[in-house]
Amino acid sequence: MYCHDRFGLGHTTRTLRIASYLAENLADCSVLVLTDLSIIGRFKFPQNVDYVHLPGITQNVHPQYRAGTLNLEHENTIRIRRKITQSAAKTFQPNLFVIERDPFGLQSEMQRMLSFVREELPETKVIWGLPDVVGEPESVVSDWKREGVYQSLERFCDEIWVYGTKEIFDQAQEYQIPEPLANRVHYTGYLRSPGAANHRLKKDLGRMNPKKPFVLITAGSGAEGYALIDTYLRFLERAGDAVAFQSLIVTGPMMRSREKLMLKHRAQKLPEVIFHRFSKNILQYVKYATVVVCTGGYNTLCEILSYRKPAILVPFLTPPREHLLRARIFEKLGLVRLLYPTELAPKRIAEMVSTEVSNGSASLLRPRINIPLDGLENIAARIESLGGYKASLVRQAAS
Amino acid sequence: MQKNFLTTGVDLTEGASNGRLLTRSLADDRPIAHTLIDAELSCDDPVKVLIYSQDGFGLGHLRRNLNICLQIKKLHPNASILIIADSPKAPFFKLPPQCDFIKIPTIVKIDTGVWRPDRLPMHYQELLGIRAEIIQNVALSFRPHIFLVDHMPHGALGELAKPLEMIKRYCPETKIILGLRDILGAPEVIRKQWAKEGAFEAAEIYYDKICIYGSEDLFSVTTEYQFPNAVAAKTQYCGYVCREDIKTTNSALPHLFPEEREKFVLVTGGGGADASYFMDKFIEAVRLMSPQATFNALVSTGPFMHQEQYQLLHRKAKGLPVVVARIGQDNIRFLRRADLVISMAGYNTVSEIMRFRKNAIIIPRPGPSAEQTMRTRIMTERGLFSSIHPRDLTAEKFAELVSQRLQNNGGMNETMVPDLNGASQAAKLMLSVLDDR
Repeated sequence: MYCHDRFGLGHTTRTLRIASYLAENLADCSVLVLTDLSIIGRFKFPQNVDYVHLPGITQNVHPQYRAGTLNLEHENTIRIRRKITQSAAKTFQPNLFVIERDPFGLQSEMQRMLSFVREELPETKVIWGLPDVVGEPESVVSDWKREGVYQSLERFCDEIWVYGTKEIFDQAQEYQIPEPLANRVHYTGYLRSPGAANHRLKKDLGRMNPKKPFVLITAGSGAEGYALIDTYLRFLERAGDAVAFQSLIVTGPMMRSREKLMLKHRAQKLPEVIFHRFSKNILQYVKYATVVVCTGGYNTLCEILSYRKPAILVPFLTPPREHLLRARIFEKLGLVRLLYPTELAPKRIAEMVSTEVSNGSASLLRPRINIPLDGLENIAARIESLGGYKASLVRQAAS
Repeated sequence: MQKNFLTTGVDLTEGASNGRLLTRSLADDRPIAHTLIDAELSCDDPVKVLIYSQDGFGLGHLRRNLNICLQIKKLHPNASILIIADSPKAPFFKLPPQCDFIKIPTIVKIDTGVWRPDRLPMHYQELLGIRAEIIQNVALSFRPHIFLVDHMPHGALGELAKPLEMIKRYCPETKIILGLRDILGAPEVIRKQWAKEGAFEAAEIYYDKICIYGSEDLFSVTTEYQFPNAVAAKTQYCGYVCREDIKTTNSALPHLFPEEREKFVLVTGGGGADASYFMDKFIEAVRLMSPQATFNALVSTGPFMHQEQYQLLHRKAKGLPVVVARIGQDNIRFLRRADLVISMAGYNTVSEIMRFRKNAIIIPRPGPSAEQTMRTRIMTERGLFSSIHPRDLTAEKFAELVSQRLQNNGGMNETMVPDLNGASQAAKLMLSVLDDR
C-alpha cells in the first residue's frame, strides 16, 4: 500500500489551477512549479507558467517495481531533489514561495528547503497551502506533533493558506495551531472551476444521447479506485438494459495497467458506457454530468460545488482520512451523499445512483451554509497586498 | 517589474515513520556514497548515467536517448538513468525501470543557435542561469559514472560550460560522452556555429568519447564539420539508433478502416508541428487516385499538430479510405505493417524505415536547418527510398509516386543499408569507457 502514496494527482492539479489563475490575472507575474508528478508532461501550461520536474521517490518497494524512480539510496534521491529545489529558488528569486502539500512526510526535505529559502532569500515570503481539511484532527495533531510541523510552520512560514473556510472547518482550532501561528492562517474559500473547453469532452458528449441523464464516475488519481469502479460495473452488469442513464467512467492515470485492462474489457461489453483512463480535463466533465460519483478529493469537490451537481462520495479510508472527513462535513451540509466504502456493494450504489438520477437537481438540498468559491480571487488579492512593497527590492537584487 | 512565485506541487504523502528516519540519516549531511570509484565495474554494480537531452519541442532526441537507455539496461540491469530534458511533454515515451527524468524550464529554438524562453517572461540569459544551476547541482549530487550529452557539446547557448567545468573538477571519475546524430546540419552552418560558440573547444576539453549515431560511409561527420584532430580522435561511429528489441507480437491493430484493402499506407510526421503541409497534399493525392486507390491510409499526425490543422485534415479526408488520428508511441506498430511509409526525414523515423526495410517516400523538412534535406538527398542517392522536396510537391506528383512505389513493392538497396545497431554499440562503448579506468 505504501507505494500508492506517491501516486496522487491532487496537489499538482490544484497547484496548476492556482498558478494558471495568477499568471493570467496578476500583472507581470511568472510562476515556476516544482513537481514530481510523473505524468506532468500531459498537462497544459499557460504562458508565464513553466515547471521543473524532480525525480520521484518510492520507498519500501522492491527495485524491480520501481518504474520511473532511480535505483539509488533514498537519501541520495532526496539530496538530488533538494539540490534542484535550491538551485531553482536561488536563481529564480521568487517573491513568494508557496508549498502545496501535506506538511508531514518528507518533513526533513521540507525543513531543509525552507531553512534554505529563509537564509538565502530573506525577502521571499513563504506560504504553506492546505486543502480545506487535512484529515481527522486526532491523527493530524499527533502527526504534526511528532514530525515537528508546528515548529517548522512557526519558524519558516509567513502565512498558511487554507483553501476552504473557517465556518466549514476551523483548521486553527481543530488542529490546535497555537496562538501566534493561528494568526497567520488565512481562509481563502474554495477554488471555482475555470471551466475551459476541451475537444475530447465535446467528442465524448457527442457520442452520448443528450436527452438521457449521464453519470460521471471518477476515482481521482486511480491508484485506489479499483473497488469503486468494479462495484459500479457489477451493478451495470446485473442491471443489463434496465439502466435508465449513461455512464462515463474515468479510472485515473495512476491505476495499475492490469486493473485498468480488466475494467476496460468489462466496460466495453456494456451499452452506453464510455471508459477513459485519463483526461487532463476530467474535472470539466462534472459540468455536463447529471450525477457525479467520486472519492471526494478536494478538486472534484470544487467542481461539484461550482456546478451544484448531485454527488455521491465514496471516500478512501487511508489515514489521516482526509476524504472521509470532507465527505462527512459536506453530507452534513446537505450538499452530497456519503457512501462508506465498507458498505460499497452493487445494490447500494444502484439504489443511490438511481435515486439521485431520478431526482435530478431536485435532490439538491438547500445548503445550510453559503460556500464561497472565490478562492482564486482571494489568493490573488492576498498576494497583491503581500508582495507589492518588496517586489522591487528582490528583482533588483536578481538583476 | 516582475513578480515571481515558486510553488511546489510535490505530490507525495509519505508515511510519517519514514520521514522521521530520514531526519536522522540526513542530519549529518554526509556526502553521497559512490562505491564504484576504485572497484572494477561488474554487471551488478548500479551504474549511474546522466543524460542531457534537450532540443526545445522535438521528441526525436528523447526517443533516441531512450533507445540507448534500453540497451544500457540490457547490459547493466540495475543501472540508474537520469535524463535532463526540457520538452514540456517529457518524458513522453515510457521510461524503463529505474530511469527518471528532470525537466528544466523550457527554451525554444527559433533558428540555428537562436533560442528564447518558452513560457517564462524573462531574458533568456536569466533563464539559462536557472537551467545551468539546476544541471550543475544535479550532476554534482547524482555523481554519474557517465554523463551523456546529446548533440550540443556545450549545451544550448553554452549552458553546459559551467556544469561541465564543475563535473571535471569535483567528479573527475565521471566519463563525459558526446552523442551526435548522423547529420547535424549544413557543414558551413555547423562549423561556424561550433567555432563561434566554442563547441569544438568544449568537445576537446571535456569529452572522453564522441559517439556518432550514423555511418561514415553515408556522411563523415569529422570531415564535413572539420573536426580538429584532437576531437576527431575521440569519435567512433556506432551506426543508426533504433529500438532494437521490439517484441514480435502479432497483436492485432485496432480496426480503423471500414473495408479491407490490398495495401496499407502509413503517413507520419514525427511530432507533427509542421507536418500538415505534406499530409494535406497526400490527402489531395488520394482524392486524385480514388476510387482506383487500392490502399487504406493512416495519417498519424503526432502530438504537436495544431488542433485546427488536425481538424482540417480530418474534414478533407471524408469519403476517402484515409483515417486521420493522433497516434503517439504506437506509431511503430503501424509502421511495421505498412506496405508504404510516407514521412519526413526525422532521424528516428528514417532509422525505423531502414530497420524494417520499408518501402518509403520521404518529404524532408525544408528548414531552417538543412539536416533533413541532406539526410534525404544522401539516402535517396543510395537507393534507400524515394523522396520529393516539399517545394516540388504537387498532388499529381505525389499520386504518381505513391502508385509507382506501391506497384514495385519495396526497392530498398540492401547493400547500402547502414549499420542499425547504434543503440547497443553506443551503450557498449560507454560502458567500456568505464572499464578503461
